[in-house]
Amino acid sequence: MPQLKTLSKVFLVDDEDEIRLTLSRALSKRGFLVETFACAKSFLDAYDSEQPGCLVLDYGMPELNGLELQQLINEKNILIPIIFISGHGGVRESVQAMKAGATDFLEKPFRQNTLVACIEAAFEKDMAARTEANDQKAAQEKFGRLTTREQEIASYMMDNPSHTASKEISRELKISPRTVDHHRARILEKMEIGSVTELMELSAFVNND
Amino acid sequence: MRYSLGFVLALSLAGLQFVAIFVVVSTSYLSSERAMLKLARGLMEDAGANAVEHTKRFLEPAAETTEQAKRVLNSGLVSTTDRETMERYFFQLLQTEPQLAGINYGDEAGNFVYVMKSDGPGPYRTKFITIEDETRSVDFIWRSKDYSIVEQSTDPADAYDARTRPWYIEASALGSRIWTDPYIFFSSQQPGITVAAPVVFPSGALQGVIGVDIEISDISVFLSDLRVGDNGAALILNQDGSVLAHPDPDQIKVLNEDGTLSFANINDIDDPISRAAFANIDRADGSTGELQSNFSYQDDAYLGLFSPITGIDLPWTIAVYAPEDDFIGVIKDNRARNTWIAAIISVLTALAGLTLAELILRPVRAFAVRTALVSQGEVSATEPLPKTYRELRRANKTLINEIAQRRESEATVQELNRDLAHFSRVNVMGQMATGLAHELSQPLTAITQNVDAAITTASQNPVENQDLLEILRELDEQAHQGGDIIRALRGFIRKDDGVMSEFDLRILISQTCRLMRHEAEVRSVNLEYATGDFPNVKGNRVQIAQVLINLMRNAIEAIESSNAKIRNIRIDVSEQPDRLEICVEDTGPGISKDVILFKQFQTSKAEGMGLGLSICRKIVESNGGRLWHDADVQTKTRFCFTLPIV
Repeated sequence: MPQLKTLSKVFLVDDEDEIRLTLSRALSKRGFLVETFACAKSFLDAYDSEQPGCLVLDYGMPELNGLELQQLINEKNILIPIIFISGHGGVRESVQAMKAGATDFLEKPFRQNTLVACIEAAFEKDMAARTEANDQKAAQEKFGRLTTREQEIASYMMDNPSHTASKEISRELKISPRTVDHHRARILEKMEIGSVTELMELSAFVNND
Repeated sequence: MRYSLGFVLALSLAGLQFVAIFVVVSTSYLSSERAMLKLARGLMEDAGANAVEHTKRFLEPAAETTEQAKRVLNSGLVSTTDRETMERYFFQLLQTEPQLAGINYGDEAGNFVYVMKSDGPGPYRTKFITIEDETRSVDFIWRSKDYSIVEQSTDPADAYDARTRPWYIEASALGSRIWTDPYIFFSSQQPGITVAAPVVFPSGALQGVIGVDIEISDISVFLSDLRVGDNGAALILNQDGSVLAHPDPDQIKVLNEDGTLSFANINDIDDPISRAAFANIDRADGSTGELQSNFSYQDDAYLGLFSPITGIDLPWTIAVYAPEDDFIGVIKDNRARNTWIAAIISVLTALAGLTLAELILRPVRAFAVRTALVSQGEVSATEPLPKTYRELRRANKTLINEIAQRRESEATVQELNRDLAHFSRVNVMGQMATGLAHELSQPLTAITQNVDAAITTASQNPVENQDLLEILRELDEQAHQGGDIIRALRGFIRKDDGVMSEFDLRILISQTCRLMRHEAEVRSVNLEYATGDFPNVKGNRVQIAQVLINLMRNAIEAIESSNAKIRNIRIDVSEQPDRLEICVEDTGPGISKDVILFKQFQTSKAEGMGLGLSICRKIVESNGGRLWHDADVQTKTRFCFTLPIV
């Protein structure tokens, strides 16, 4: 957990100067890295997708409000978790924000412990997402090393986990079982895995269309 | 409806009346006219027959006298040579038959005896022409009625010769009695006709011819006396169209260029009506039967009739004409009069129609006026109707109902408008509260953040900063209490309210109490509310909150006004099979019996509008519940309402 605090950053977007000042100060005192933005646009301009963290977003802002920024972030495929803070409250707004993928929705004033818990959960979520993205990227890269025939066989196995025997594959793809065995060995070697079971685990990350 | 009832009634009544009378008048006129014309024809025929008969009777004595004289002379009773006897005989004959003008006898030798009525010195004149030894003498003797001689004369210049006269020639040639054509007598210048018959010797040889003259001007006199209608006339025409007899005797003679007189032709006479009537009748075909005609002269219609004289061998025709108006003039006048009568009756009927319409309309008008007054509210609908028709009474019932309904709905609209005004006030308050909550949330957040930062800083030396930390934690807690109030306010007035939804009544009650706490505390009133587990209710959350606030505020004000020692308000919730019952009970003075609750604009409060309870009841009812004052509870005031369970 402590390493998350040092790796991840809290991006705070709020149009109120006082909130930006006090909230960033309190969070910094608690050891968080905090970067503040006065409006949604400046956040988008400065955002670096390599920087893990979470977004603490004021719901009611002039120009681009919180919900609209959330929509923009979703459109840009930015995977940063969002915690809404709102001075308005409102069941409808919170439901809308949560539906659009917000991690939490807090009414101002909120207990600091609640916010800290929300931020920590968001950090973890962000980390997990980043790890998964990396895994997927790696798996996709390894899958790319395979020849067309090997990709075909690997895809078949991933699609039909209960029919991974060489005979079944050879019957389906109309090639000899020996050839299938040969390809299978090459697949495991190229994808740096030891068994078909591990291939199955990778299947979630591979886009084999 | 473009015309007034009076106009339509008057016009239609008058029109109907006129048409009816006109039809009756016309048909009766036509049938009368037919009958009258038929009668006229009969009258004319009678007149014609009368004239024929008269003429026949007038002419017959001449024929008889001729026959008689002929027989006397033939038989030799009076010798043709005995001229004195003959004269005397002729004189007697002339006296017996007054219409005879004269009797004469001329023989083959040229002798001539002629006795005639005279205007001269005596009433009778005898003319002798004597041929003796080739010498001719003409003697005239005038006698009085007693046959005595008045005067005598001779006229040697007289060249008259009977044997050259047409009557002599014709009678001698035919050997039988003849009628001459009418002619104007030479001596008397009167129209006349001569009957002549040959006198023969026993041997059969012609001795002479006896002639009897008859003046036919008397026929004209008769015709002038003959009545054919009022303005009709009859005349006698000869075969050649000459007028033999005419009511005006002067009409029939014309003076020829040689000084002689002759009969006027029908085409020449100075009687345009007769000319128009008969000039064009062409009887050249020889037809002799009766002939009827219609003609017009100077725009007047006339009837015409030709009737040949039968029973006598003369080719004469009686012609009769008369204007139609002589016969149907009366009924024509009658028709005109009747038409006028019809017109007058129509006008009277129109007046009657107007009066009738007025009579009919008067109750209608009274009714209309009353209805207008009722609709303006100046007259109560329950006031007795003016005397009017059954139909109108029925219409009135409907109308009054309509008016009552309209007034009711107007009242409802006014009521709703008042409620609306109230609610919009509530709404404005809500919006203000929302804005306030937002504005307050920002500094509160800043405070909590700063407190948090301070706590974090102070926590680095917890032992030294023990007091400070305690203060800071209290500060944090207090800031959050402020946050709670704001949250309650925010939750109480939510934007998405205004629709029926399910909600937890307990939460609403606690939020309401939170909001009312201050108001209650400054008046030292204690607020309590029941806890427990109840199913959700369905309703309009804000409206129900409004009801709760209203009831609680009423309770607070009641307690305050009483200065009671126990100052308590309690909200209880109890579950019924299909609803929750909420009771707001206060320890105030209770409600006096003479206060009418739930009545609009009736209030016991100085600042109240009397809308509170009545609106509360309406709100609860519109949410499917009921609100009442529980009068069973003594010494306390208790209002209860229900809400349906989901």
